[in-house]
Amino acid sequence: MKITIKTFATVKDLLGFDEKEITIPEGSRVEDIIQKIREENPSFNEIKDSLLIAVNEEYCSSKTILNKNDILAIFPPVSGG
Amino acid sequence: MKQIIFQKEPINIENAVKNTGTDRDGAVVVFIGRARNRSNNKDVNFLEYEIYESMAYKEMEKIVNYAVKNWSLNNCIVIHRYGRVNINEASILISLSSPHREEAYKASRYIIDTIKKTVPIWKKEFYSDGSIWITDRS
Repeated sequence: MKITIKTFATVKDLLGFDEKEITIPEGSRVEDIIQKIREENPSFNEIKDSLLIAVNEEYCSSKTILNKNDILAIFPPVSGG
Repeated sequence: MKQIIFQKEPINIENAVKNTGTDRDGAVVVFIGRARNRSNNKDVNFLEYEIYESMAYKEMEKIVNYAVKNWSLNNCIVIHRYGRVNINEASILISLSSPHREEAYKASRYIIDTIKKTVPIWKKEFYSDGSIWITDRS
């Protein structure tokens, strides 16, 4: 099934894309996708901050199970204000 | 009245403050966050903010709705810039009103502190010798 990954700030800089559609096995959890990204992009491990995750614009945990057409956003701690 | 605005353009502070407050309100509290020229022991030339706008709106709405309900606010305006923000310019404005000052002060503090924790916006500082994303929630 297909999902969309969105990245921001340091994560975007390291991965080199801000949005990408990928195909994942059904039943995949957020942590599976993060693991796959780490394997494919060794530079991703340079991020020392804890990552924040949102699925369909709501914060969630790495255990969240993804569904078809979900939008998975990965980003560092926020710094607005 | 609740208003949440994300914009690239400089904030019209006077206008926002003028639009805050009803006949029932004895207090208007305004918080302005500004781009300062010194950070991390370096001279800062300017800032850039990146935003995940659709999610930022949802998160901001949660914060404003809670504050309005919890501290009996009659007006609450939050304007946050994205893109380039020059030194001395406002990056955020929170303008709110309530019958009494205690509630207004508490609400203002809650809103800015929570924005810094949950609203997906990121600040990048630009120096003469490079730039850095800020992720320390300062």
